[in-house]
Amino acid sequence: MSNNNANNNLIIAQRTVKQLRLEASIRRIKVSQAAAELRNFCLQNASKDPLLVGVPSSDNPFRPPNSCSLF
Amino acid sequence: FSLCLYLISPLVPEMATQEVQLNETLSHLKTESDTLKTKLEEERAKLHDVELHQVAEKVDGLGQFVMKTRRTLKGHGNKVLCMDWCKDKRRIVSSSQDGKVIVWDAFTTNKEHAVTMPCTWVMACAYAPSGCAVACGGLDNKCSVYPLSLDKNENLAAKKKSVAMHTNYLSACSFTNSDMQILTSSGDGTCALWDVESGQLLQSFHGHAADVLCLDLAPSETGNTFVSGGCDKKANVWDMRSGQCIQSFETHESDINSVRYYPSGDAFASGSDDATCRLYDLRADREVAIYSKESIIFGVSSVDFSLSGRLLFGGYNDYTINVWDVLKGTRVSILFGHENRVSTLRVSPDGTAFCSGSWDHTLRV
Repeated sequence: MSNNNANNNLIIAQRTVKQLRLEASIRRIKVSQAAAELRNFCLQNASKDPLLVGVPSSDNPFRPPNSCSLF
Repeated sequence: FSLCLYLISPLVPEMATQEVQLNETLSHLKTESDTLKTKLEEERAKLHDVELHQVAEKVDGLGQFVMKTRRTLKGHGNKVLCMDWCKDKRRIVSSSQDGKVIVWDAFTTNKEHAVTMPCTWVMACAYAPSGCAVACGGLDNKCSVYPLSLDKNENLAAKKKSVAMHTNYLSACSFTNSDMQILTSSGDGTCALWDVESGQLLQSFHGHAADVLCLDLAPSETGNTFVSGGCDKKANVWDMRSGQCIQSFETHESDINSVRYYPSGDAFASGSDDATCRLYDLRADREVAIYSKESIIFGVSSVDFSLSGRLLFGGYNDYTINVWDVLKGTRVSILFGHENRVSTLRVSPDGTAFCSGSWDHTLRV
């Protein structure tokens, strides 16, 4: 029934509008502030990032197996 | 139009008027929805005062990176589709097209457990936080949990527990903070949260207009949200408790194959068939960086961050892994080694290594 289809479309459209209203109303901060905080997080944690700074071979659990390994 | 209806069905004039009313309301709603979309873009644009790489100008550049394959895990008989690390930083679970799910010790490369699923294309697998179970699923439309026993001889398949049921393929799954709940995404366009013990559906998430291909949970400190990406080119952020979609991003030009939260939880990265990776900041509510090069034309299947969030690793369909400087937007390294598409990629829990799985049947650490 075309009436039912129209009803469904209506419900979908109502939901879309409701969702968009929700998304439009959220609080946002400036990109400059957000970006600065991303940068700061990176810098603060850089020294603890093994893939960034590397780890000494003795601490690296994935180092190539040596010929003499004592476990 | 309405006159025509009246002539055809003179016995139901109310229906005709109702139809006209519905159509008017519908077009009214469409106008409002278009207006809201424009307003949303305007609001986002107002706060777009600077680019991420500009803010990062004074940051030291990264030197040359030498990353070597330390381990190659061989044993799958077909394309590796998914993998996950155990919290113990050494075990890995991987799943493949031929239905096999294998648990490896990445330090020794030994296989510790193997299960054959009753379906092919096991596209999703995840390790439980306790390390005592794994979840997996794919073309069977389900997510099943297998407890891992210490007894190698025990038949894992016997203890299998079916947890999630979707109406289309399972594309991704993840345990939440405990072994008790699993989040799933599916080709049926929805995501869902399940109780492992009872198999009960706790919450479902509707909003994607097509297959959902990936999901990632926010780091525990930042609360109960997760992000999902789909074939509708959208990345949606959801509130796990209410089922509500709280933010939505649509800037990719094709399917989003992978999403991953930035370690601080304030942003997430996505990888898409449009050959780009993008970074979206949740508090600025917009895309803040694109990682792409003209020479890169193949889709990104999988992305993950290094521990500090400075590096973004992307696995591509051209068999390579590109490593990006998240802040500066430049590529710092390109890794070769796989002999077919890289389908999955995860950094280990302590950040000392990352593992990539490929259609070449192997995993590399």
